[in-house]
Amino acid sequence: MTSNIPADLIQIVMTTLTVGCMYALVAVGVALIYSATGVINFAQGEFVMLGGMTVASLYGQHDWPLAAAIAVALVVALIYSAVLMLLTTAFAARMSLIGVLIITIGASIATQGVAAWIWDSDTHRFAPFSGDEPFRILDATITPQALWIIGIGGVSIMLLLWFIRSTMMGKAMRACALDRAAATMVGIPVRWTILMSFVLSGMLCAVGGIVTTPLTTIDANGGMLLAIKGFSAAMLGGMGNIGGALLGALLIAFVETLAVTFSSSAFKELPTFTIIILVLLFMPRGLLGRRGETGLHHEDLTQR
Amino acid sequence: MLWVTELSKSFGGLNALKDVSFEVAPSEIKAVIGPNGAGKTTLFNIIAGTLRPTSGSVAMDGTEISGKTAAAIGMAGIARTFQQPQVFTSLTVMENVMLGANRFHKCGTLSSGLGLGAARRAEKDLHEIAEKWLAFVGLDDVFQRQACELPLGQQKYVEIARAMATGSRVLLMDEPAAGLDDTETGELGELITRIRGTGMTVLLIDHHIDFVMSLADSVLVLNFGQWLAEGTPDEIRNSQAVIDAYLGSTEDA
Amino acid sequence: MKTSLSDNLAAAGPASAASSASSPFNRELRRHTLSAGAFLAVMLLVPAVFGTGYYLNTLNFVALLALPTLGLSLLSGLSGQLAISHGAFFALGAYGSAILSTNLGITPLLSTVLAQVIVVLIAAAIGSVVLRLRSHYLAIATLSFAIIVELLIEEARSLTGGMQGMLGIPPIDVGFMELTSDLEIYLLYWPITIVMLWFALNISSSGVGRVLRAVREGEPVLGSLGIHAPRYKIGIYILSSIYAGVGGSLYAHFVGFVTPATGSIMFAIEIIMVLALGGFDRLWGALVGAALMTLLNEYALGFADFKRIILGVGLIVIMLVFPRGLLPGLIDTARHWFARRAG
Repeated sequence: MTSNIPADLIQIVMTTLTVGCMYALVAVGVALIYSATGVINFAQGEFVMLGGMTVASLYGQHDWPLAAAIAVALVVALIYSAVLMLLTTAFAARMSLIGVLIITIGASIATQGVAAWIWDSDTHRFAPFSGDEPFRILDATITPQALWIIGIGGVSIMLLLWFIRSTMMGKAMRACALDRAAATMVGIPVRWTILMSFVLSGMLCAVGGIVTTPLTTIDANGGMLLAIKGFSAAMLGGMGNIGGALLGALLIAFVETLAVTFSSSAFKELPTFTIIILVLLFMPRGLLGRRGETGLHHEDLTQR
Repeated sequence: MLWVTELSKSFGGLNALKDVSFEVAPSEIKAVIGPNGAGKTTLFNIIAGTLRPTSGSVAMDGTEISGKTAAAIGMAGIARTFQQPQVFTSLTVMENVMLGANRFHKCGTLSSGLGLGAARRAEKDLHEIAEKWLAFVGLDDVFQRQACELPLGQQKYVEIARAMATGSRVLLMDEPAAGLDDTETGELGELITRIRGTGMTVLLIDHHIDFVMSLADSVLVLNFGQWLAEGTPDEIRNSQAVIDAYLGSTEDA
Repeated sequence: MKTSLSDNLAAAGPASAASSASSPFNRELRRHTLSAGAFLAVMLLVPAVFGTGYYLNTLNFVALLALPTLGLSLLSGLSGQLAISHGAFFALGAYGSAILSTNLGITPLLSTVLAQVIVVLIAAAIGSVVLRLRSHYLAIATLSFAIIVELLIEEARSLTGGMQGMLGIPPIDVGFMELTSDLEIYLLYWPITIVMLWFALNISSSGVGRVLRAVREGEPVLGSLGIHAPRYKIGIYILSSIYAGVGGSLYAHFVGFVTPATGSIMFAIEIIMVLALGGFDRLWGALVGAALMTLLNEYALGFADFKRIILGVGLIVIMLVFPRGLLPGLIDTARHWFARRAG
C-alpha cells in the first residue's frame, strides 16, 4: 500500500459512495415494503438480480439498444413486484408474519432457480454506460461507471423522497404506514397504496442492479447477499425509517470499504456483521428507529 | 404492606398524578376511585411497573419497587389482573393457571426433557396449586376447556385464579367489574372478600361506586391527579369534598 | 416478598375435588415413552425383517435430515419463531467434529460432543442478542449468520479445505468396532434420533413448553406473572440448535466428507421445507417430512436449478394453501371430508 493519504481518502470516499448507493437502494426498498405492510421481503435482492441480468442478457449478449433493454428490465421488475405483492398481502391476508416471511424466502429461491435456468449460474456484466477508461484524481483511480451509480442512485432516492413527501399518493403511503385502519376509514385505497410501495421498491432495486452490474457483475444467486445487506442497513437505521436506511447503508459500505482497503477482502463481511450485532445489542431500535418498535405483537406461526 | 409516597407523574408538562401518598395495610381491600381523568389508571400502571413515576416512590414491605420493570414487580410478589382479561387463548384454563404458579417450577430443560422425578414432582405441584385456585374461584368444572371458549366473565375468574396461583402477597385489580352485570358484580365482590380472607392484600381501582363502597375497607379518592379524600366507605360517603367533586363531574355517582 | 409453595397451597383452602394422583404431565410422559418405544421397536425390526439393502442408506439420511428439522420444529412449534441458522449449525456440527477428529485425532463420539459445545456457545450468543427483539429479527439475524458461516467455511482453507471440503473423516467407533456399514450406522443413528424425538416431545408437554406456547401470545402478561420470557426463548433456541449440530456431526462421520454445500443456505431452506411438509407444530411430522424430502431428493430433485424452483414454489403453495403445514392440512381436510360424508 502506498502512503498517499489524500488519494487513499478519495478512493475510500468514492468506493463508500458507490457501494453505499447500491446498499441504499436495496435498504430503502426494504424499508418501503416494511413500512407499508410489516413484511420483511427476503426476495428484495431478486429485483437487483433481475434488473442486472435482463440488461446483461438483452444489451450485453443480444445487442439490443441499451434503452430498450432497460425498459424491458423495468417491466420485468414491475411484474415481479406485483406478483410478490399478491403473494405476500392479497393471498396471505390472514397469515402470520413468519408465514409471509417463508413465502418471500420461497419466492427468492424459486426466482434464483428460474434465473439460473433461463440464463446460467455464471457471472454476467455488460459494457459501462460511458466507457471503461478510468480517470485519475490525485492518483486515485475512478471509473466513470462509479459516477453513474452515484448519480443515478442519488437522483432515484431524491425522486422517491420527493414523491413520498409531496404527492397525494406518497402522502397516502405514509398514512397507510402509520395506521392502516385509519387510512381505510378516510377513504385511502389501501390495496393500491401497498401495490405502489412494492412497485416503487422493485423499481429502485432494479435501477440499482442495472447501474451497478457493469462494475460489480451479477449472477443468478447474487440477490440473497444483497438483500441481507439491505436488511442490515435498514435494521441499523431503524426498521421502516427511510432516512435511517440511507444512513445505515452508507455506514455498512464505509466499514466494508475500510475492511477491504486495510485487510483481505475475503473477510470483509465480518466487521460489518459485528457492528450490526453491537448496534442491535445496545440500540435495539436502530440508530434512528421509532420507539415501540421492539414490543412483541401477536406473531404466531401456527395460528391463523 | 404497600407504601406510596409523594408519587407524581407528568406527561409532557401535564400532571396526571401529583404528590399522591397513601398506605395499604396488610389484608385489607383498598379501593381507589375518582372521576374519569383523575389519574387512577396512571397510578395503577406505575405500581404495576408499566409506567415509571416522574418522582416519588412505591415501596412494599420496605423494599423500593417503583421504576422496576413489570416482570421484576411481578417477581417481587405483586400480582395483577387486567381491565380486559388477558388470558392465553390457545392454552387451556388449567394451563393458564399453572403459568401463574410457574415461579414454583424450578426445573430446567434437561430434567423436563428426560422426565426426571424432579420435573414430574414440580408439574404435579403446579397442577395441584392450579386445581385448588380453580376450585377457589369456582371454575373447577371447565379447567380442560380452551380459555378463549369461556365467556368474558369467566375469563376474569381465570385471570384471578392465575394471579392467586403466583403466591403474591398483593393483588392489583384494574376495574375488575368493567363489563359485568349486577349479578356478576355481586358475585365478584363476594370472591374479592374471600380473596382477602386468604390473607391477600387487595388494591383495586374502579369507578363503580356502589360496588366499591360495599366491598372496600378503605377508599382513596383522586381528583385531577391529586389526593382528595381517604377513609372508610362511610366517611367518604359523607365527605363534602367528594360530593362536590362528583357533583361537578358527569360521572355515574 | 412472596409466599412459599406450601403457603400457596394452604391459602387456597382444601381443594373441592380430590387432587389427582398422577398429573397430566405424568400421563403425557408415559404416552411419549410408549409411542417412542414402539416406534423404536418397529425401526429395529425393519432390518431383521427386510434384511440389509440400499434402503437402509436412505433411512439413515432420513434420520440425519429429521434431526435438524426436529430442532426447528421445537423452536417454531412452541415459540412461533423462525430461524434460518439450522443449516449453519448443521455445518458447525459437521465441520467441528470433522476437524476435531481428523486433525486432533479425538475419537468421533467425543468430538461430536465437543462440537456441540461450540454450537451451544454460538447459539447462546446469537440468541441473547436477537431474541429480545421482535420475531422477524431472529429470521434476519440467523440468515446473516448462515451466510457468514458459509463464507468462513469457504475462506478458512487451512482449516476446512475451502471449496474442496474435507475428506477422510473417520467413522464413529464404539469400543473396538468402527461403524462403517449402513446397518451399523442405522442401528446407532435411529435410536439416537428417536431418543431425541422423545426428549423433544417431553419438552413440549412440560412447563417449559407451556411457557413457550404462552410467549407467542404476549410477553407483557408473562412478565406480570414473574416469568422472564427471553430466558425461555434463548433456551429453546440453543436446544433447537443442538439438534442441528448433532445431525451435522453424525452426518460427517457417516458420509466421511463435508463440503461447504453441507451447511449452505439452501440446506437451511430445505429444512424449512421439511418442516412445512410435516407441519410446523408437530414433532412427529418432522420425521414424515424428512422421509418425504429424502425421497424427493433421491428420485426427483437431482438438478440444482430445478430443485430450487420446486422448493421455492412448493414453500409458497404449502404456505398459501395449508399455513400449518402440508401434513396437518391434509389431515384436517380429510377429517372435514369424512365428517361431511358421515353427517
